[in-house]
Amino acid sequence: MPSQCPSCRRKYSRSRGYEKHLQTAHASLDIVLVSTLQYNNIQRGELRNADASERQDSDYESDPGPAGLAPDALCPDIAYESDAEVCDTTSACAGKQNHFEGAGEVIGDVGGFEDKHSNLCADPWARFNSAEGVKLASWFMDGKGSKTRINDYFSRRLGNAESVGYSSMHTLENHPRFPDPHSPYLQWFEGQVEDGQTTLPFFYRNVLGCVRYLLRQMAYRDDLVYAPRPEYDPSGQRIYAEIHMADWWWDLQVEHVSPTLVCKTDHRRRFRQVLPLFQ
Amino acid sequence: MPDQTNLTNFARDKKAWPVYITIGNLLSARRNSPGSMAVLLLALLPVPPKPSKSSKADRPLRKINADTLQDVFELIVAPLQDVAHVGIPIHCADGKVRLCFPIPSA
Repeated sequence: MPSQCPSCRRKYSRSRGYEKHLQTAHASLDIVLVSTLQYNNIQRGELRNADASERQDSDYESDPGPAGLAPDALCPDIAYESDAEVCDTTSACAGKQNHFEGAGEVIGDVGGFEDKHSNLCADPWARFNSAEGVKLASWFMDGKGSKTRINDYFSRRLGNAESVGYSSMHTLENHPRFPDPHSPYLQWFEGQVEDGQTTLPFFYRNVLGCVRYLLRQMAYRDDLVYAPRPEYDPSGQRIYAEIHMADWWWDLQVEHVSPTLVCKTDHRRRFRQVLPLFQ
Repeated sequence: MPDQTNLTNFARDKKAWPVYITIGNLLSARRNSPGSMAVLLLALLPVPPKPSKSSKADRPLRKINADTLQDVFELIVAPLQDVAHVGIPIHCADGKVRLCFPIPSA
C-alpha cells in the first residue's frame, strides 16, 4: 500500500523515499512519519466516501480512481515517479550497516545454566517416567475429566501405571507440584486507588518481573532476538516484518541517551492506547 | 489492554479490565502463537463507574476515571522508569546476561 504525502499528495511505495521526502520538502512541518501515516489512513477513508465525480476532474495522477482505488492499485509492479528521487535504494541499502556495535552485548554468564541445560537434555520428561506419562497426563488435563473417572481408568487397568509413573489422580497431581524457580517473578500485588468517592481495588504484577520471566524461558531460546538487525530481500529492499528489523528499536533505546519515559493515556480515545513519550 | 471483559464463566456478572504484556524480542510467529504462553497477565485494572450517555453531565466523572487510570498505570510501569535510562542486567534464555532497556509500548 503506497503512502501519500498529506501536503503535496505525492505517493511513495518505499518508506525510505517517503521519509526523505518529508525531511526535505516539508522540513518546516513538525510532523513525524507515524502521525503522517495515521493521517493518511483517515484521509483515505474520507476519499472513499467523497463524491467520485470530484475525483474525475483531478489533475493529479496519484488521485484514487472512481472505484476508490488508486489507478495502479491492481498493478503492484508499477513504480511511482515519486520514488525516483531516491531510487538508488539498492546501493544505499547495500552500504547500510547490518550490525549495531554494542547491541545485545553479553556482559556475563548465568550461573549454573549449563548444568540445568544438560540435565534437561538428558531427561526431558523429568518428574515423569516417560513421554507416555506426559502425553497421558496432558490428555487427562485437556479432556477435563473428573477425578473419579481418572481413578476409574487406572482401577480398570486400562493404562500401564508402571510405565507412566502414576496410578491415580492423586499421584498425578503430585507430579507437577515442584517449586517453580521463576514463580517469584509472577507474584501478584493488590493496590487501591481512590477516585474521590470510592476506593477501587486493583491487582498487578511487577512489570520488570514479567520481563525477566519471559526473557529467561528456555522454550523461547531459538526465537529470541537480542539486538536490532536490518534485513533485506534479494533485490536490496529493506524488510519490515519484525520489531528488530526497523530502526525504531535502535533509535529509541541507544541513540536517545537519556529518554524520559512518560506513559500517558489518551483521554480522547478512552484509554485504549498507552503511548511511550520520549523527550 | 483489551476492552472490558466479562467474567461470566468465573464470577457471574463481574467485569474486568485486563492488561497483558509480552516482549518484542520474541519473534512474532512465536509470540502470537496461542500455545506459546508468551503473553502474561500484567494487571487487572479497577472498574470505574460507567458514565451515562450524556457526555456533558458526566464530564467530571470521565475526568476522574481518566485520572484514576493514569495513577494506576504510573504505579504499574514505575519499575521501568529508572531501568529504561540506565539498563538492567537480565538473564537470557541462552544462558547469558545482557544489559536490557525495557521500554513499554502499545
